[in-house]
Amino acid sequence: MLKYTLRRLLYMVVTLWIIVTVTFFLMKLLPGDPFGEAVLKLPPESLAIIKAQYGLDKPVWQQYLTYLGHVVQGDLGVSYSFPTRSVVSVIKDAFPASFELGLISLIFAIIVGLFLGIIAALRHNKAGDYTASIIALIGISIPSFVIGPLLSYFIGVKLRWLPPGLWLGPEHRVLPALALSLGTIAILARMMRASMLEVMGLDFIKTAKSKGLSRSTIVGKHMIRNAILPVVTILGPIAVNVLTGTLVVEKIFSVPGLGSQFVSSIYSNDYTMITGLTLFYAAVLIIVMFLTDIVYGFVDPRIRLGKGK
Amino acid sequence: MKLKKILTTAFAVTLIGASLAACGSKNSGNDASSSPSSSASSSASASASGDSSNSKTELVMNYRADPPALDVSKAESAASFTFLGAVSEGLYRLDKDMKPQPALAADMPQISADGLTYTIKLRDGITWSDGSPVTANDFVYSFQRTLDPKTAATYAFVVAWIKGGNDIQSAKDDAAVEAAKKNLGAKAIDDKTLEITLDHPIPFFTSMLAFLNFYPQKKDFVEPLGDKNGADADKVIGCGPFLLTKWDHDQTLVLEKNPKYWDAANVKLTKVTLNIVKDTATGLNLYETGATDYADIKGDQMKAYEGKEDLKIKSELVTGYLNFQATKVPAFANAKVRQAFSMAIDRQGLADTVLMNGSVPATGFVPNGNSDGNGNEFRKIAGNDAIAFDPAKAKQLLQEGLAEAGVSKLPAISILSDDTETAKKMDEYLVSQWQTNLGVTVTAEPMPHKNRLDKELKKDYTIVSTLWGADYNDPMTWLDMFLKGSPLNTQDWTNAQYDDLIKKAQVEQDLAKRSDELVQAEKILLSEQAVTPLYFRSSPFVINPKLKDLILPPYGPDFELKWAHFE
Repeated sequence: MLKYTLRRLLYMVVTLWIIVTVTFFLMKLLPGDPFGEAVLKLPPESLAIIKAQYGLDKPVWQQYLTYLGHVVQGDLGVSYSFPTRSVVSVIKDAFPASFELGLISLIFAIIVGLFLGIIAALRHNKAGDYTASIIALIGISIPSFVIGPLLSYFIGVKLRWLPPGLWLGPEHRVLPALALSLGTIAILARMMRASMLEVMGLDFIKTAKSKGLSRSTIVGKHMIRNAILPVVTILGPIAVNVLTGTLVVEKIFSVPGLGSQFVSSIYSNDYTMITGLTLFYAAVLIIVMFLTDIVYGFVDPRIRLGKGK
Repeated sequence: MKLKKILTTAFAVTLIGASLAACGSKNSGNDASSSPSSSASSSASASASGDSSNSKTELVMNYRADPPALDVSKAESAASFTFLGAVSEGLYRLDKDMKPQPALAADMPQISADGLTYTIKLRDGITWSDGSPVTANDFVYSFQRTLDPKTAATYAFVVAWIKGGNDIQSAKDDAAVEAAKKNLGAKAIDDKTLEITLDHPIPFFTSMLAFLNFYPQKKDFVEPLGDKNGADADKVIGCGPFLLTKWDHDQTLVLEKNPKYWDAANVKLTKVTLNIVKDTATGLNLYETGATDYADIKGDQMKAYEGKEDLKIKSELVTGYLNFQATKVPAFANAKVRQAFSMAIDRQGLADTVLMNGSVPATGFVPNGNSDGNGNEFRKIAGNDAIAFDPAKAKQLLQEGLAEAGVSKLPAISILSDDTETAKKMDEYLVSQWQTNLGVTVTAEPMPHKNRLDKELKKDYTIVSTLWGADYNDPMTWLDMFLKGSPLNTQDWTNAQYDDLIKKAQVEQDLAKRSDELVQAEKILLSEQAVTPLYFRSSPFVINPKLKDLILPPYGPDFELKWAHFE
């Protein structure tokens, strides 16, 4: 296990290095200047000073090595658009909101998605199944940028049940979390349903039934436990998707998260911000994938990581 | 068993309750009575009952962007100007008619006969928000800091109008910068008297002294902060009507009344909460529920408010226009070809069907509301110089122009623009106008703003759809762009007579004559269609009808909060 973990950590570092490198050089290919209109108004002396401050006066390979050196020390540079703010401080300020929103949505999606999937399987080809499937279908086919404004308008403005936007009290969390989780609910419900149906047809379930075990025991101990395994494997990528995919929802509900920062940094050619945020998102993705693998080992005792390799 | 169940339930409820409370306390940071939604609902109840004696003093607004550093020297965006205008102040403050009124200055400036030297007495008892006095030296320091090349202040060029300003900006090393600073034409005669000497007479300079980059700065506060000056609420100091008491980046900024402000008696609002809302639909939803007193809206959202007193339209000093690159497309060097392209556009249709936000067809290049530098409105003096929509004549002019230019067929032409929703719709409209009315095929080339700007400045376009907003309220901010060699003259148009008029106006002391020279210059620009103005921009917004005297200046800050109050 330790050997496996160390090897995975090494892979993680190498992957991050490749991502930083590729992003850094791709970003240099972006057309345009990060200083925008300022270029018109600043005298050459000041422009040269700013470029020197950001190291843009040096050859690209030198900029790259300097940047890499700073990254290793945990310094992702200073934003071009907000010169008083470091990329790390922007992440520190904005990620908690994205994370909180993602986490609430994920928890909500797991509970509702699995519940719908189980109900659909247990009520196979009955009303319950159809209802759950319809909900799943809606969740998959309507993207969050459609469902978000609809929720904001109907529940926020027309019904006045919840605030239509902003990120102040707990009541402000509900609508964005709901908008963000619908797609995930659908995916999880469909997977859980398929997985349950597969397990239901297996011999050991028949054996359990013939042994006279109660329905709740069969469902709880045998069906769900076995059916949930394939679902757990996709939880990692889904979690990343939810945590990082808050971009549109954040804008719709005015959530002060990282997603909108990422988009605006690309539009404003904010080089340090783009590279820093890409690196951060990549790190989150890799770490979550790693944790999923670990969790997988605990859920399925047959898998013992690193054995025999 | 039953007891166990009860205990489990109680535990679960407590846990949920505690976690919700934790979520709430993290963001509230103030008492319930001051939260935006509660203050908004109190406004709703006040307005419903019509009780004016109990008018509220807390304002909640949507704002579209988190401001970059609130640093007087570095301020360059409307967001920075807006907040700095609330937390600080200059020698003058523009009133609702955009006329400068004495602010930190005790009176209007004494101007020397040659129009170069301004002597200004400061008001008694003016202090920074920490209680220390504001002195004439704070202005001198501010100007010097802005001009220092190391500060890299985008708007230093306006401060460089002060004599010796350019020398500081172009100084090659630290020693040269310090030497040049000593020669700057801004001196503190004593703590209460400031003397500014200009490089050349500027008829609108008193108004400029109300502009944000001319505000004072407190050296003892700014220097220790270095690059972090203005980065957070505790790193901002001012001497204006409000204090910045909270700044959660990309979420909320809170302004509270500054009790030490010299004119505190006339500041009626005790608190202003500005929530960062980037999506106009959400902003409008918040307005609808009473959670905000102000929301910017888009053209297609205006219809629902037509005829209601909530809807207002702000005219801006912004012109949308086209440039035709003459080096890349030699046919565009011919004035008739440019005129043909301009004449083929129905601008009223553009305003009515594409923009739909209160913008009006351009009747010149300098927009409505812009001063002429002589106390009048430029457009009223210059008149309507729009090229009238005339498809038949446009076609004829195109043929003549192409023949004159010796071109049988136009090369591939595209219209470079931003990739915003409106810009893309406008591309479609223009492409279709040229196709229908001229029989010319143009393709659309929308791209992100910075990329568009980069290509425009590198002259890497055939036609560009662009915008210009006034840096200051004078025709010169519009017209000196097209001098030969100006970086903004990206279409490569030159006219000796035009250059001559602008250069004369730059030093002209007779303001009436200057105004006339600028009018003549614009006429040349338009008759040749050196630029093709399309529209003067407006932006619609909704506002709580009980909120009065919230000034929305046509340039610079987005709004002026000092006099705002609820009825």
